[in-house]
Amino acid sequence: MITLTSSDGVQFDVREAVAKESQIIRDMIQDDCVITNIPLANVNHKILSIVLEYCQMHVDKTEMEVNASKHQTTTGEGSSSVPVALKVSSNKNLNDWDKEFINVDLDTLYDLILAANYLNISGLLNLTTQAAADIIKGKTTEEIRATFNIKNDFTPEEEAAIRKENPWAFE
Amino acid sequence: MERGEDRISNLPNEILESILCLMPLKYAIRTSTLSKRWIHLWQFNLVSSSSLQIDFSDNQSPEQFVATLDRYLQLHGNRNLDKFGILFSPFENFFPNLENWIRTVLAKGVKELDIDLSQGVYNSCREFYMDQRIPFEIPISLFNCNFLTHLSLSRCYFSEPFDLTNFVGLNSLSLDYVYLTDEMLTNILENCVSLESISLKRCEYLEVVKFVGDGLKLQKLLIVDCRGVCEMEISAPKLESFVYHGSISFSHAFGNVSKVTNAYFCSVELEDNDENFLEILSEFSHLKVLTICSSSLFVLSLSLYSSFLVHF
Repeated sequence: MITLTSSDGVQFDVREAVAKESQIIRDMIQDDCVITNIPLANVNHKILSIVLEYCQMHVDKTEMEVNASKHQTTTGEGSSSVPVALKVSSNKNLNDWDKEFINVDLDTLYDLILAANYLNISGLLNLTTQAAADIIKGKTTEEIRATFNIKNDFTPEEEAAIRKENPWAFE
Repeated sequence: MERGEDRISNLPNEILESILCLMPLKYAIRTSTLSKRWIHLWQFNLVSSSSLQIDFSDNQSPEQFVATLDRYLQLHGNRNLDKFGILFSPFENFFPNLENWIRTVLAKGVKELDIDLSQGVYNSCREFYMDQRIPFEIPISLFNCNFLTHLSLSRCYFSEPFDLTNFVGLNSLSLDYVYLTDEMLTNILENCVSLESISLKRCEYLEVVKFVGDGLKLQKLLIVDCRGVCEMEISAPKLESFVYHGSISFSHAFGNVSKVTNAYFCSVELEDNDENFLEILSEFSHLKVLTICSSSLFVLSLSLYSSFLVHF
């Protein structure tokens, strides 16, 4: 077990495999195998618990697949690879789970992006940045500003000039 | 946290850039007018993309379109580009620019090229352009390119000599309103041995459509409004999908079409050719999915009904 301590001092005991979903933790553990307590200065306990929920789920799913394939090998049914049907249904379940998981408010989304970036969890970073991209996609400038509370610091003339540089995008 | 705070703009550049890469260029560009923080962030999308697809739209002049595309290609630098597509109108003044773009993207190793100059004032009843612009001549340098897998041209014509020996790897070819003769089609089939998909639209000079050969890899064939076609011969062992739109007055010979599972027919002036059409349909009796447009279906049902009356 590894203990992760959030920026506000809350401790989380997790299995090594779960902690290792984070590239920086993986590197730390590899460099020093006796390390058991890792303080995470940039992630508070609320976000860390969400991040760990993600890691836990993804590790569980991977292990389930590995077990299923082992089971298949020991029962002597041929190939050691995971049966395609199981893999597909498992990926589909995980995608559905991800979709549900990322259905959070904007503040949480920013925090998750920052945490995934800091901890270097590529799957979570892809998922969260894609969610942000999906919110921006298809909206007009005004709609994006309103969604994210972005303050327009252009004069109307400046804004018009920028639009004119790439008119096709504002059609 | 304070309510109404703009947190997204405070994310580090590399995160914002990666977010903007996860959407089509058009939407990324829209963020350039959000605030000063965002002016240039979208450029990362353009620069890191291996595909560039841009359409001429009503809210700009052709000059602006040309300048924009020039700027994009310059920004993209000497990076590789897999896919390049434009939708434009054949304004003769800009033919040198078109040639230049094609040259540039060929140098970038483009594999999929889509030059669509079909924008214009088209009379669909009489099937010609009323704007009288001349089609664009595809520069001969295209024929030197041996890594194209997809080529799509609209309202263009090929320069002479029509030498396709480098197109052995071409997988999909789509020609719309392109000057194409029977000899040129034969040349295509002889040289482009990897072709799996062919689409011919409004190729008016084409008279004989002949796709015959045991070695043909052709899986998809689409023929739309090629009004000159008077003879059609198809025997393609791998053909799976066949779409035909236009008059059915041609003579036909369908050899090996046993793999075809999907076919679509839509015919104009079917009244005089309904028996020919029924004969063709009988060649495709093994289909999984047959789609016939409603007007053709109407004529067919009338003709079947009358033959029914004659028999009894």
